[in-house]
Amino acid sequence: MVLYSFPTLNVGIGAEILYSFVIIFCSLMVYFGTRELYNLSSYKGLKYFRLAFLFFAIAYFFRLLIQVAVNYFGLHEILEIYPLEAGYLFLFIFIYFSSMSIFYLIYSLLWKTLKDNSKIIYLFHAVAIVISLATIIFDNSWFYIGLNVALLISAGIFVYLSSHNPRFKSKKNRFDRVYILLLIFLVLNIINILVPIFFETVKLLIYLFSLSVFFVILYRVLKKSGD
Amino acid sequence: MAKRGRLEILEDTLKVIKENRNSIKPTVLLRKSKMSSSRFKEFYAELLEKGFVDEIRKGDDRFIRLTEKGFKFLERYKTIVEFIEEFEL
Repeated sequence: MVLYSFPTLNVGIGAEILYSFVIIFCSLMVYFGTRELYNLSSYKGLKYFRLAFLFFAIAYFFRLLIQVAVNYFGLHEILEIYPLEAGYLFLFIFIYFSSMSIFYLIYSLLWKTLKDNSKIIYLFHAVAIVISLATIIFDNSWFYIGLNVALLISAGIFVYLSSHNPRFKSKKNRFDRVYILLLIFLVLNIINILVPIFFETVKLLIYLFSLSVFFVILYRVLKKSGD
Repeated sequence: MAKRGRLEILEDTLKVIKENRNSIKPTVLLRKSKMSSSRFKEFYAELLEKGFVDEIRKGDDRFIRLTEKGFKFLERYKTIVEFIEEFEL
């Protein structure tokens, strides 16, 4: 199904590269900035939180590769690239790491409730692979959007449930809103790669809000980890 | 009384060693750690394996002392707990 384009506010490839680099930098700063706390504590929640940001960084790196390839070869989408296998591989890796980053983030909040069951991690990997395969098999814009909205709603429900965990009832500055914003912008960024014209008019705004969310997280991480 | 978490037990145990001039016999540590003998054995093996403590011998006696990592953990314990609470992990 074809999605029709609206009047566009163009974001050049230079801005795309800069945007991806800043997100990758922030994610890696979160990952490495919490290394000492994890090495000392071996705390499972910290492990999954760090992995979520490492996977964010890898996902955004492949997102950048896809955008550079699409721009360089003047394509409409990465699946037009030759040889076709390269396009499928890039897209598969991007969707797999994006999905796993969402799952790791959710699991970092829920691992205690789920009694740190390692089978759930295997299930997440399996679901991420299925999502990635489905994305490249069903080459359909509405399927991509529906899948990601479903993923976002499920993730939102999990974050909501975890934030209503009695352990954190007394806390004043709850972080769940930042997590939900992070998930929303991650999903918008995935849709933006899969269906480039869908958010053409508001792309710049999505980028600016995504950067703001990452900056807030990075600031809080660096402040709290004492680095 | 609320059940102590793994990190809290770790902090309590390392603190006992530190407050004992960083040299304590395993039997004394067991008594002060408020753990069962089997639980302590398991926990102590983990402390050694992860490098929070090491053992020194003085004659026939064994003494436990904190390593640099053990001291570092005590120094950073509050930060670790605050981080976990802040991010709801």
